[in-house]
Amino acid sequence: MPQRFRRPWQSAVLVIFTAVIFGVDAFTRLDTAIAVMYIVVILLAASVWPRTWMLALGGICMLLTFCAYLFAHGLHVHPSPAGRMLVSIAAIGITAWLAQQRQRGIDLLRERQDALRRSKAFLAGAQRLTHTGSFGIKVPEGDMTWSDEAARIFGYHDASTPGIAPILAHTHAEDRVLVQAAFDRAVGNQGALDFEHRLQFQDGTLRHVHVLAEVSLDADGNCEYLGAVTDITARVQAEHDLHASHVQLAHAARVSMLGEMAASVAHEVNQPLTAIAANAQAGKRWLARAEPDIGEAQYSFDGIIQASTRAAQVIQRIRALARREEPEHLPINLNTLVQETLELLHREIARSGFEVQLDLAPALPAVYGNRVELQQVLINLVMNALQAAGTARVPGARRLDLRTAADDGRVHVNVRDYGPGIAASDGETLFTPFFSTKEEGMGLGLSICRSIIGQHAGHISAHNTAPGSTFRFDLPAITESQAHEPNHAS
Amino acid sequence: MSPTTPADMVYVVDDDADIRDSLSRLLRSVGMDVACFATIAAFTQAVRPDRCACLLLDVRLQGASGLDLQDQLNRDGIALPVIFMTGYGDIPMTVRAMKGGAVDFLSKPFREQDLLDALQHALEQDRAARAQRVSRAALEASHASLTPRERQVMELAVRGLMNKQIAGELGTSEITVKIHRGNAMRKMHARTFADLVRMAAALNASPAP
Repeated sequence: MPQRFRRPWQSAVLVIFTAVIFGVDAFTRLDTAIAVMYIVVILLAASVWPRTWMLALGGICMLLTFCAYLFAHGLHVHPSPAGRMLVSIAAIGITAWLAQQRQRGIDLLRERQDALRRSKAFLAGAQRLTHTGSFGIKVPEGDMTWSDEAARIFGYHDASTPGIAPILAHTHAEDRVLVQAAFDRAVGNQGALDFEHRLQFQDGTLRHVHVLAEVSLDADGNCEYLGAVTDITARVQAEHDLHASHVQLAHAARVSMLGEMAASVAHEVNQPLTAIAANAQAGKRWLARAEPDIGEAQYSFDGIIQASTRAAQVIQRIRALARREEPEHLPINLNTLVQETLELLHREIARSGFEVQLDLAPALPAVYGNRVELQQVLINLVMNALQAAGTARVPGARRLDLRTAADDGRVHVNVRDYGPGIAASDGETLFTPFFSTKEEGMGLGLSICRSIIGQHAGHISAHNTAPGSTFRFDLPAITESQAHEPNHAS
Repeated sequence: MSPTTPADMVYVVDDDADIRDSLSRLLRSVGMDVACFATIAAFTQAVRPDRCACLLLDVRLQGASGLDLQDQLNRDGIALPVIFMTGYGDIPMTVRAMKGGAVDFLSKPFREQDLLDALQHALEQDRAARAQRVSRAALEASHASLTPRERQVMELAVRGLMNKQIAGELGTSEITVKIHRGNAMRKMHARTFADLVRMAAALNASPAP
């Protein structure tokens, strides 16, 4: 309102006009209701002055009208001029009242406009800060509106071109079908939207966005999807980085674990090589005889083939552990994995003179997971058990129980040793990085086990089960419906 | 490589079937007899014919160590040359094997020639040991056939005493000593007195295993 005081010449015109009307009213003997002209003054004041000033002016005009009457006619009542005076005063009063009513409406509207402007500014700021834009889709026309931030996220710098076509133009080729389907779903009014997709720009930049939208009805019953689109690139990138460092760490631990398993690895590789060499020499000799023994030579060659197949399998198994690759999540039968792990550790177990008791649940449901990483967990737990109980001088300590079970949609694996158990003081810190009870231990094994099991939506824990200790982990079992989805991945 | 006599026998103890089969083929192709065993127990329970033989033994076996078998054989006084094989050997293991009298220690995969050389060496060692055992047994039998007097005379004679001194020592006549000495020479199949001295030395050596 203060800005309206900055109209001095308009105010001056009003004052002069008022004075002129008063002058004409008071000093001339015109037979008309000149005072009605005050209405013009009030209407002008309404658009120039604040409401209170205008009301005051209304009062002054009424007073001036009365004064002009007194001045012209004195205290005597002359029916005609008095009637004109009263009509004028009434007209001025009514006009002033109506004008202030109108002005009050305008003020209110202005305040609301102001609030709206501020709220829009707040929203735009919040959208920029949170990288969240908003949009609307009219149903069933499919006309779109979007906020500046939404336009920016979709890669456009003016809010004037909303639509599905510009969005699709910047959508990653692999996600176009998904986005189009979501749009069709909205236009067809088939429920809320909640999905993530990627945007790919000309310069090669990739952006991840999360789209949420719900249907809403306006006052006229028109249907519109209102939603938000969030740029989650930073979050996805952080998740990706975290995942990558998890993969690297797990890999480093696997490689160091392979070092610990060196005896087994060397043995596993050298056995078939020895067999191949011996078979080859034998075959040569059987053929080089004065009377070549074809039958024996054939057996020797069969032996070579068999041993080389085995060598290839061994190397494949070891390479799988040594390789660093993006872990692929596939359905895995933990019973099979337990058995394969025991085969891989066969030498270590035999060398330590351990006896393994297997208790594998029949018809164990599969789990989704990365075979190499889960095997890493099993190897870690078994090797730990061998080392824990291997130092114990207690009779019967060289025993290892491996058990699988399923309940409540989860698959459990228990690795029990009969060694010295876990010291009470170590219970808390067992799974924390760089904690080790072994002299040469890096203390990463169990912390990586926990990280791997965590990534598989599972839990790992350790308990004392005198004599010895039990390490358990559980993973969610694949449900029937998931089993039919070929490409489920976490 | 020198040709082997058909009587040579190689015992293979390895828990890996591929290794057993391939070694069996290879050793049979060079004319050796082979008997394979997957476990120490199977080997110790098997009846072994009395013939020139050696043992090709894997260090790491299911449930036990080849080194333990070597100890057991040494304890039981079974003279069977042992060649160790291992897929992954370390120094303490090798030292223990060699201290236990192993002929050789082969790292898998080994060269055929190394294996055959080691086997030859082991079989020759066994052959020599067997020959020594046979000759010593004959010597002991001859010695046992002497009368106590002849044995006394032989013992004193090989110590370098003259017949007269022996007669004095035993309180008998020089002529009797001469007869006993002649009998001893004949019964011991000694052609010269030097032979007899050597035989006496062999008999006095610590008893053969």
